[in-house]
Amino acid sequence: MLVLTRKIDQGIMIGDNVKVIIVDVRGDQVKLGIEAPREVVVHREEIYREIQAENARAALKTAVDLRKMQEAFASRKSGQGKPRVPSE
Amino acid sequence: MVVATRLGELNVEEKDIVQFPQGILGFEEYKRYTVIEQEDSVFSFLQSIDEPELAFVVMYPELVDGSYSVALTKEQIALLEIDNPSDGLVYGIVTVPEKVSEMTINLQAPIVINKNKNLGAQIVLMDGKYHTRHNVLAELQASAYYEAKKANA
Repeated sequence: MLVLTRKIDQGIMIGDNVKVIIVDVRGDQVKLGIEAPREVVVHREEIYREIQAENARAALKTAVDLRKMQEAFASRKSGQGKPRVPSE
Repeated sequence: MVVATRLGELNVEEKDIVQFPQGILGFEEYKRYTVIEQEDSVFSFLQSIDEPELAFVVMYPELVDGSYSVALTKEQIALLEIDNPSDGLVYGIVTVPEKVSEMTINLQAPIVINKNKNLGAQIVLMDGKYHTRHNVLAELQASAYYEAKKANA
């Protein structure tokens, strides 16, 4: 990992089109500004990892039984399924 | 154009191809998708045009949570070139495990498509109201319960 030390208002270039600027530092919180082209997605790391992991889980690996899914959905919607009242 | 998909070879028209400038999180290199609706089903497929093996089951989130709404930031509005809120179509990606009854929908990171410009993105909502694994059947049951309660109040 490359570690650089910056002061407020200083920046870092990542590749030729992503810029990260230190906007503010307060206690243990650092406010970062990011300039990147539209096609580059920018997210807090832990959020990115979680969404990426869920997407990977959701990506179809085998044939999915849409009919079974639709039946489960339809029967629950019309209340035919076993009634389950959520706890308040 | 003929596209190889998980559902076999399909005829997809240019007008049905949605560009995702940022791709989908974790699959950023694939930028083109099409939504394949299924007759008599609330479940549709979000199929990658560039990678035939890549597809997701999607559904409208309001079917699970009637009050679901997406507030876009100005960057997201600019990315999707949205002029009017009605331009946007919102889907949630459904994760289907072995047990179908345990299927979950990602309400924290919906797919938003500008149907007028055929631009799409996976938007991450940061307001803390939603997470990535809402149990579809349980929440369906819950929202029906609360609606019935409201109606009977």
